[in-house]
Amino acid sequence: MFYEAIINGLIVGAIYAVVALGYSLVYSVLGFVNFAHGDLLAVGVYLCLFLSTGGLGLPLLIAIPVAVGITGLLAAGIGRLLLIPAAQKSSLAALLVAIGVSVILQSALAAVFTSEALPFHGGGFLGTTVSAWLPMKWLHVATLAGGVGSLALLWAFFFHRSALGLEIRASASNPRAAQILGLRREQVFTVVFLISGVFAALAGIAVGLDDQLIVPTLGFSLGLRAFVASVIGGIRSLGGAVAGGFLLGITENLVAAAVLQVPKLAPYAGAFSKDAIAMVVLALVLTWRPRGVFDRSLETRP
Amino acid sequence: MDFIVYAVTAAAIMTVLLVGQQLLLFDTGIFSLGGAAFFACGAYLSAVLSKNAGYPSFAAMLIAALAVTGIALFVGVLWLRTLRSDFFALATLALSLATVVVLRTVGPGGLTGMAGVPSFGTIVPPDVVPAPVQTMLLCLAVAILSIIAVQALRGQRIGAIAAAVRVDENVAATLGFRPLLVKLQIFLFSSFLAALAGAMQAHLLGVVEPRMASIDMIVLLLVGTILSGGKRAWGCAFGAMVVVLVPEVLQRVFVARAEPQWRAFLACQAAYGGVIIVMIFCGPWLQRFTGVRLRRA
Repeated sequence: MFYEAIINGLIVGAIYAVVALGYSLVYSVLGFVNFAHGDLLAVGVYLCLFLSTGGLGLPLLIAIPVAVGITGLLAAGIGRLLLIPAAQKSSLAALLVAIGVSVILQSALAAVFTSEALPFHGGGFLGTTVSAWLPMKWLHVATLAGGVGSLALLWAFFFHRSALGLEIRASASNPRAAQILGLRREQVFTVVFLISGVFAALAGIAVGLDDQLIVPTLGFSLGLRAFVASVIGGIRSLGGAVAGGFLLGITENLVAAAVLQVPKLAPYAGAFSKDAIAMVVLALVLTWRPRGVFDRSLETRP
Repeated sequence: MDFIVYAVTAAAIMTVLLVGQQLLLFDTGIFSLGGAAFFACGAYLSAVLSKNAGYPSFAAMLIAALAVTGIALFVGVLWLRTLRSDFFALATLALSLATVVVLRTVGPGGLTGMAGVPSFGTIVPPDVVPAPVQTMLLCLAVAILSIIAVQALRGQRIGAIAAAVRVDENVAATLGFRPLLVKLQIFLFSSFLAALAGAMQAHLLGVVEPRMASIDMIVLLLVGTILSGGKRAWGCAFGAMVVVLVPEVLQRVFVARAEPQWRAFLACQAAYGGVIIVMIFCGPWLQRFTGVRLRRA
């Protein structure tokens, strides 16, 4: 029972980690919370649906990279056009613009597709279990391996080896010093949005294939939980956000499993939904350790 | 005629709500998304008190508003001290969304909410002045009173201290003011107004629903507050009229063109999102708000 909850927690955690990285990147480089991040994720899922089973009928192996690429470009475009100029005014202005973008994207999705749930099947071997001794679906294995693998690649080859990756890390750890040193601001800002969009779309598609039903508000609720994950780990530390993702995924599944064990709580199981658990965790973290578990900077406020 | 009476009443209630939000955002610089939570809590409490416990409507409204102010005191003490502006916004957003979950699972009526909330009582017999008109006049009176109260507050000492706290909290603290206390007082006042507006809304419509605290309501509040300008309290009346009338007008246009109602809702949401973005980039009223941290005195 609890073994199962931990495995599920790791799978969900990989998704949260990947989305939380996007929040953390934008927050630490540009200094605002990208409220539209979750809705970009939903755009990625709907694009993938449109390209594959829902419209053009391309195989999933082609549809996923195309959808991911378009979402990344869209994120970079929205960032360049709206969010970066707003962030240069103030962090509150940027947060407000991001809320506006989020609302527009969500209603655009509902207008183009419908506001009702649409089926999204991967088909093929994705839904089958691996083997008797490893009772996991192939989709879950792919999610876990893809999430962990892409994060490891990003860290090993981009953040630590390439010049731009180092500049992003430098800007994240101290934006002002990075500006004084003359790092490539515009490229850093744009690539930050590009990375966050690409990873968001990947995570969204994994969730969509798992749920098999997608709604336009999927991005908002998943994005909110991933944001909580990044706050748990410390939104200003990139690695902390990733760790927070796994932490939240495991916590959420353990609590849900524990609630089912207690018969008296079973009627209120709805109150222990993923969203509610994330909200409670957010409230607790913000109250006792607002800068997150893994942020070691001296400043006490987030 | 009925529609005009209803629209004026709804706009008056929205004004009461927006006046508090405007004071909070533009005068103190606190960005809270929890107004919707207090609005819904006020509505539910007042509805339960008057329908199930049998209190008269006016007493129920006042008790509900005061009780919700108690909740706000807890939230304010907990978070105003530790959280910087945008994190306070997200914490209060969590509060609003958690309120929706709580109302859905354990609130009276569950998912669909509770109907049959008693309406406003009448003061003069209804055959002299019709009941809806009495309600409208009463709501207008409350709205005008809250506008006057906020304008008066701005001229007082606390208004000046709030402005100092907004520009630079640390300097205000070194000058011997207590930023936390001022922020808390204004937060409580705005929560009281939000809860009062919620209670009035509950008795006006006769229905309370969990989605009174949802993200749609939060966006509506945000748009109204931004449109109110931020300098004068009667700007809120303008913001309120826009957010009350735009959905009604869109609804009528779409129904007249025989298009489904959810499209009107979507158009409305997209328009709100557009308004927020346009106001941030082009709104001269917002200069004071967005430019405040960039300009050095």
